[in-house]
Amino acid sequence: MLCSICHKNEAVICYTEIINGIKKEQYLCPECAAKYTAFDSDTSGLTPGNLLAGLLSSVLGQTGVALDDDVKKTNLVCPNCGMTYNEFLKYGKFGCPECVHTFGFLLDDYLKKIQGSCEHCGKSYEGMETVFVPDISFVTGKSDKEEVVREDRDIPGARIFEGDSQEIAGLKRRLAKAIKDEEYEEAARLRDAIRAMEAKEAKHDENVV
Amino acid sequence: MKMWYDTGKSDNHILIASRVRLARNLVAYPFSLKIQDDQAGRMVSEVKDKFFQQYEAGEDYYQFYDMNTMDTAQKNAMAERCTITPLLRDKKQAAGLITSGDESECIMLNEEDHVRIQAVMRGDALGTAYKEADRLDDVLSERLEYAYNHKYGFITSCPTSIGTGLRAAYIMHLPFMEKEKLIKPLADELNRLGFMLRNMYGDASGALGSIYILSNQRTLGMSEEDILVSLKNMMVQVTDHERRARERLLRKKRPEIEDMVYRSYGILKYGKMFAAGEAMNHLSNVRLGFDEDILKPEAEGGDIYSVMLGVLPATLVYSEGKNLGSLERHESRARYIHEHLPQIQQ
Repeated sequence: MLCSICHKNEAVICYTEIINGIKKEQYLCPECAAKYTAFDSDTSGLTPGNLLAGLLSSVLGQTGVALDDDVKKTNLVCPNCGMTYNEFLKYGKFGCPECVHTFGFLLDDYLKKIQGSCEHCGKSYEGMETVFVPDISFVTGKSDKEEVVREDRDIPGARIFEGDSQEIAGLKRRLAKAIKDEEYEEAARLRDAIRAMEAKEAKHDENVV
Repeated sequence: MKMWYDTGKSDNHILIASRVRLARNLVAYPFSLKIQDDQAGRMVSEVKDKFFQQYEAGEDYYQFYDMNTMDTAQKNAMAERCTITPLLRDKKQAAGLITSGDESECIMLNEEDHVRIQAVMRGDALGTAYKEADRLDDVLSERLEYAYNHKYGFITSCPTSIGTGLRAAYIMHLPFMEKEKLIKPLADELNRLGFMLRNMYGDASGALGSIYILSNQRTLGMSEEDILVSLKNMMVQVTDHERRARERLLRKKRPEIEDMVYRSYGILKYGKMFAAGEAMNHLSNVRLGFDEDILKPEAEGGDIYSVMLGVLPATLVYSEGKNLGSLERHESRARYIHEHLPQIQQ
């Protein structure tokens, strides 16, 4: 079929326009489509990227009213990479690791929508040096770190923080780092803090029970 | 060097291969959207240097390629057989590739994420592929600081990969589900369950050679093991659907199907010119013929999937070592098929 505008080229696009309920169909070649209609064959293919960016805007669109009230939020800029709130809406991507904190206030809802969850429970990274390591090296002075870490890594998705509160987990991570950096004074302080916190939690649990 | 898909065995089953990709980023550099050219260059050489500390020079199993200086024909061919992604191929910034000789393992540098680790293997081997990728991940994580958050896991450029950063996939041959128009409804259903089924080659109008990729969409809130196990369960079901479609059609129309398979074999064996789509579809029929024992190979060996990869346009141009016009390419494709099509028992 030939293009219904120029009558020269092969028509490859069926362009349907509905204005005030009146439907009009035209069969067009790409050139005439680009010239006379809003159709753009280069951008009509939706890549997963722009589909998701659209999703992000629409997820946020639902809470848009509340956000617009808070001008501070819409003026947000990531201090590390310079990503603005509007850019984050547009691309639906992070500019750097810090963006997770900068735009954290809208992340959980978004992640729940696209991932069905907002908490990681797979392979841990820094974390795996924390829980097992400190006691061993404190008691024996030897570094059994390598072996322990290996063992842990063989189990995909090992949850080594199970039972630890976020605070304790954070302290333990700092403790492991202090030991690694041979800052033993800091390590001792952290160890005491962890023990105190664990004792407090145990007490709290008893009370609850 | 033989490629991972050239096993020398005749293995024309529904499940072709298992693939795992892990997305990782370094804490010290902005992500792809914000990274500057000089930072990209430093990032690529840092990862490269750290990786080759483990695998010292002299150990020639792994090789590094600078994507900016790689020949375009080679880039296209690598993208065509999915060793690299189109995004890496088209990258204007500094970008790199570390790959094993058979390309079963590779690490893309400065793709959408700083580091994309990939491991691919023949047949049902998702667990082994994951172990390989995990080993490369450990090599890098011991030397580089990753962007990781206690709550969100591994931070990726796009929130669709955040958490485990794990994208696992099965490459499958589904000719009869396609014939019975079952792909779309199945893909829709899989989509609702958090999985994706799509063409490996070709566009929205159809899959070349009936090759499809089944992969997970969710990366957060599930452990790696859960992701791999749930994907495997889906794969078993998809395989089962294809098998039932084959049984159904063979019961009803065996003579027609045998005719289709033998015809395709004859065309491939004696044709002098082939467009890629035509060759892929005949090869798909022949592959089906081998798997359903309609055709019997004369000798052990000769996998049709590796012939399929050999006739793709960019691969053909690269192996000829020069740019070919479309007619020349069609002739060259026919020659390749004549050389590589397995002989059958009469």
